[in-house]
Amino acid sequence: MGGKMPGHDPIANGRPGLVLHSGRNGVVKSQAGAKDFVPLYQDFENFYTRNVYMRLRDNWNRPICSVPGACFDVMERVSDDYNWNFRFTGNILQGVINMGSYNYLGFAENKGPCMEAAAEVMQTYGVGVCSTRQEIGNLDKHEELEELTAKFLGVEAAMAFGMGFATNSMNIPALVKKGCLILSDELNHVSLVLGARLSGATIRIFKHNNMKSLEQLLREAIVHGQPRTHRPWKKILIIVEGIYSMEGSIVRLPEVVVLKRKYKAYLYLDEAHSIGAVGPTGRGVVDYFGMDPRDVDIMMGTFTKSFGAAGGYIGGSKALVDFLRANSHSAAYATSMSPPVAQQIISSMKCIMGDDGTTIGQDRITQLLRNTRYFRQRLRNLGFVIYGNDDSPVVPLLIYLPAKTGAFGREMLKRRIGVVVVGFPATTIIESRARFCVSAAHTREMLDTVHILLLLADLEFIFHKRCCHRAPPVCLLSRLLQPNCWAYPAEIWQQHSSPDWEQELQSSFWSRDFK
Amino acid sequence: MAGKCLALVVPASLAQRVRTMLQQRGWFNPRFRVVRNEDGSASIPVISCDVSDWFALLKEAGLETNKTLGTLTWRLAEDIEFPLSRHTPSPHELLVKAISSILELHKDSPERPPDWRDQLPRRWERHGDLAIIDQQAFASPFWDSFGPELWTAVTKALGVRRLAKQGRVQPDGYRTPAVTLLLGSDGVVERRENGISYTWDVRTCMFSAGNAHEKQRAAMWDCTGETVCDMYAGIGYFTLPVLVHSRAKLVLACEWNPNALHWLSVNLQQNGVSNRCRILPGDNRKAPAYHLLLEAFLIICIIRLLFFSKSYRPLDRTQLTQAEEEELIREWQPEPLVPAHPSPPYLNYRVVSGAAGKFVTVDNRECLNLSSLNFLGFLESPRIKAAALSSLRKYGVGTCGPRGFYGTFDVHLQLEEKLASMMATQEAIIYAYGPSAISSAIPAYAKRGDVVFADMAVNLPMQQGLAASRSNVRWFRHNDLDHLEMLLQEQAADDRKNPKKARVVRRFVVVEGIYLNTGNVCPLPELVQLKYRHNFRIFLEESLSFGVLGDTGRGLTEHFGIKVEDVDLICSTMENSLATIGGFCCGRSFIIDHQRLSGQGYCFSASLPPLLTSAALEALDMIEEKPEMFKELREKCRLLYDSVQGIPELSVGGAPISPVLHIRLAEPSQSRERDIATLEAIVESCAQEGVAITLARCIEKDEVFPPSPSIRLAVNVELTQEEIQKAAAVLRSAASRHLLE
Repeated sequence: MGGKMPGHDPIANGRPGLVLHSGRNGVVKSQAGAKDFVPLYQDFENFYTRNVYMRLRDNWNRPICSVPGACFDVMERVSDDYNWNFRFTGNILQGVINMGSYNYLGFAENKGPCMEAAAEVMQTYGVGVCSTRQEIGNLDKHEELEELTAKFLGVEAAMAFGMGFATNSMNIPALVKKGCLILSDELNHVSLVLGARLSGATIRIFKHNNMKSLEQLLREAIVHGQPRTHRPWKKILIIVEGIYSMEGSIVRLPEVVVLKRKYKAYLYLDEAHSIGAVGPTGRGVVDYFGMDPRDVDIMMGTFTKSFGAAGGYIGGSKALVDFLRANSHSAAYATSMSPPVAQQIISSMKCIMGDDGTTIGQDRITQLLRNTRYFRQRLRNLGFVIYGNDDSPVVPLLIYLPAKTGAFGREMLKRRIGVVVVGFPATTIIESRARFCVSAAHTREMLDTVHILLLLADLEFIFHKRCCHRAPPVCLLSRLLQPNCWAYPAEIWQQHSSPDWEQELQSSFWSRDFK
Repeated sequence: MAGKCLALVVPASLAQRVRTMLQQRGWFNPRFRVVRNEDGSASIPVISCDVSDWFALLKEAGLETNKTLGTLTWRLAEDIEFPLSRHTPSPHELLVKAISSILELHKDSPERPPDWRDQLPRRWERHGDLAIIDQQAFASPFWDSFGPELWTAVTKALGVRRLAKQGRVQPDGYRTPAVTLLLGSDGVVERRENGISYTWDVRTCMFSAGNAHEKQRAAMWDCTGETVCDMYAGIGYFTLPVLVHSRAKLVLACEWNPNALHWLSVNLQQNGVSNRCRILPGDNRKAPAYHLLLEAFLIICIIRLLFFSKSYRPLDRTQLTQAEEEELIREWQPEPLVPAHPSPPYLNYRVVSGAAGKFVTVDNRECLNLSSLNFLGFLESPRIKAAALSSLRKYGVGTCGPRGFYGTFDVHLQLEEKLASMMATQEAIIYAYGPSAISSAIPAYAKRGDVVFADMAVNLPMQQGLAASRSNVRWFRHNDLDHLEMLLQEQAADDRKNPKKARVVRRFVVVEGIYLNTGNVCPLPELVQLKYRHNFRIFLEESLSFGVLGDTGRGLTEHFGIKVEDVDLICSTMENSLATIGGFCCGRSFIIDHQRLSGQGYCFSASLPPLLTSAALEALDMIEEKPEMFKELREKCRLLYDSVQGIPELSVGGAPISPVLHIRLAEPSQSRERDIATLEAIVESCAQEGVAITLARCIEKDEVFPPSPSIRLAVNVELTQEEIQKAAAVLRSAASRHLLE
């Protein structure tokens, strides 16, 4: 089976006539004969799908068939019908430079001590657990992991969960209820938004990383209380992220903590992208600002990114974690974390902490910082508009026009670079961008290659055909960024008309071999 | 030195005579020389003109005009290469010469301008036998007195028969060229380019010879089978190449110039492609009256909204002074983040060392395991471990990204395909976490305003999905389809009252295959009957029935022999029977594919680690290879069901075929805490006797309908008859010890 269903199909979209819809197995027709059913989803809901997403679709869900390390192998696929369906050609694009995965510390590895330890644990424990933490799925590995996580974070206790997304969506409801107020950054991740919604608390949004906006909301909330009844709020919870995954910006934690203290609010910090990735010892934004972890009430993070595993954690006071152990949906209803995954986290965390007796972890943290600063500096020198903090390994490069993102992603893959392009709804419609994630595993040569290809690439759709290779980079770029040409001061022109850039590019460009 | 020209091909013997006659009439092209061909004929360069004119001339020269008889004595050939004549004066020189001789004839004419030579045309455009000289040529009124005599001389010099003069391109939107005809009867010309003939009237239409390359490029596109729209078709500049050479299926040609439209249709017919072109005449700027009215109405609305509406003031707040505000802020004391002393119902987790397979080490005591949902005993399967290990050695542990951003691995695609083919559905989608499958799937379809009918016993992830959907949830009593039908009838009555709303309200029924909270089986056949009577969609959660029910483990649909298509969405975790991590949904592509953009747990979460994916693939293989294990599993389920019957003070909940059974107090006390403590004590004494069982945990305050406390027993196919009976006996003795004392 798996092909088209013949004959009567009464339950598909209840719209008479043919509605074409994409599917991996072929174009699926929702057939007439289901008139009595209300359409499963509205056509206007599909407007975006049909008109934007379909045209750019080949830039997402690109299947890979190797470890997502510094380079990976991408399975080549083509579409004969303008991205409605894809077929695999059987070719493998090997050695594509991976600028898309969140492999900040390079722990996505298929050899080495972490992998061996995970393999061993799998032999003993199996891959699954088949029970929840509260029932009979509380393995000693989980306890070990939680103890280590607490030590790593510098908090009293911690709890680990099987999925990062669910850590947010299933635990926020345990902490706040109706009558509480959540102040959420406008760019918070969907999982935080979902958790906040499920909690039943009132949600108010403050402008991204804008302390004035946050303070104003805090004051107003305390002074005026709940709407209509004017009763005081039970609790106020501020939810922020460490590094915002689409902006690359680092939260202004010291100021948030000052506000939180002043107004007696609680702080929920989601370190999905920052744990391991920033801070002199890789302990996330708290470490980055040299602050005390106890200033943050709820330290949440994921193991997916820097640790090369899966899952999430919440750290904080013992009272908090005890409360969660009793009240978290994850603990009562979800199968606990897979033991080999837990072991991978333990091994990589020990490595970062230096508990394995090596400096590999510390070296990687340093290397990541070095790579990040180098990569960002180069991009900025080349005249690109990039967002975010200088030390943030998430580097969004602004392309602005949604249509150009598609061309950009394709052209970069042609040149063996895997980048992520994002547009609406992850960003505003006029701020489509490409996103690079710098990793400690990237070598200087790889980063240089990315820079060079960004320049030399005769990305004619993006940069315009008439721009030849010899044009100064800003010429290419100003075309790339046409809608915002005003953003380019004249100094950039002068800065980049230096004669040696071309030579520099060519010397390293032609000798490209990483595999 | 050579050039191309229209040729008259005649026998070589007559060439000289014909040439003289042509020269007399001015039809010979003096720029070229006559060429002698190998077949005994000669080609004479001529100026093109109407073929009928030739007949008389050729007859005079003694040539046969009837081409059908015998050998062909003469013919016309286009674009023949000719060498240039040796002393060919350039056309401009000829022009100067001709005009000089006319001026000689009219010596007496008044005030000849001193710069008359500069007023002669230097550039002209040739289309067939018509030349268009530029605007500045012969600008002075002096030339007007000569009339046709002058123009004849010019045509002779330029080697054409008709003459026209370029004017200013008129600013009328059509870009009418304003060409005036000086000599000749009409301005219709024909031009062949790339094997396409273009005909137009130079007086009314534009044509630029400079675009030939661009037209050639357009001709090279492969448009086979495509529909092309030419927004500014003109006389068919690009329409024709695309039709003739690019083989477009259909061209929609838009044009508003009536003259161009006339010639466009002529050209289409001439080139034999009119059947593949649809001409769309007219100006799209001409708005119909209703549109103007609509716009006027909108403008009025906007003005009203901007200037005449009251501004939005949700609360007329009293202004507080700064000091008052500070005081309020100082005084406010929030509740603690978490209660200082939480009542800890399940605070102390039991610690399991090693794998929780058939035997499990709980708090350092080895026990028989009747609590893990490891129905098929796959948790300890060496085959699955081996598959996962080879996956681990290839891919590492984590995926470091969501499915969209390089988190899709080949094994994910394989697993989705495998699940789809196993469940005989079109498509499957996998989630990285069991509960997130159903809790993401429900809000992907059910939205605010939709109606969802849900069984009161559905598990918490489903309740969360319902909460996230913000739909209108109607609860029906557990497995009570009569109650469901009653609610559906109520809904139908509402719909009749408000048919407009009913047309957009989607209706869903969400049920579980085997209920986690009760162990009962959903009466699916009756539900499917109801479905077609009341037009709702069925979402079925099969976490406990997938890999359990049915002859080959395909779940509830196989168990009841119901077509999979009758259920709209099947969802399940892979964390029970398959003993790995994650969940999946399967169904029609039309339904499933929607989740790839709308399933939040799918889009925004890191994908399932490849090693767990490979484990699931291997587990599915094992299910396919050994379908007899499901019969065995059902026997064990039945055995456990029978063995635990009749324990005093306890009641058994769940179906005989269910792999989980709920043991509840037959007469619960008023206090939930006390019941839990009693059951805990039973669990504890069972553990001491080497049988690990567990309470079914739930978070009471978050459940919509909290299930009463129970011990949940789970069957593992690897348990022997003796072991099941022993476990039942242990439970029985522990229960009697605690309950009868």
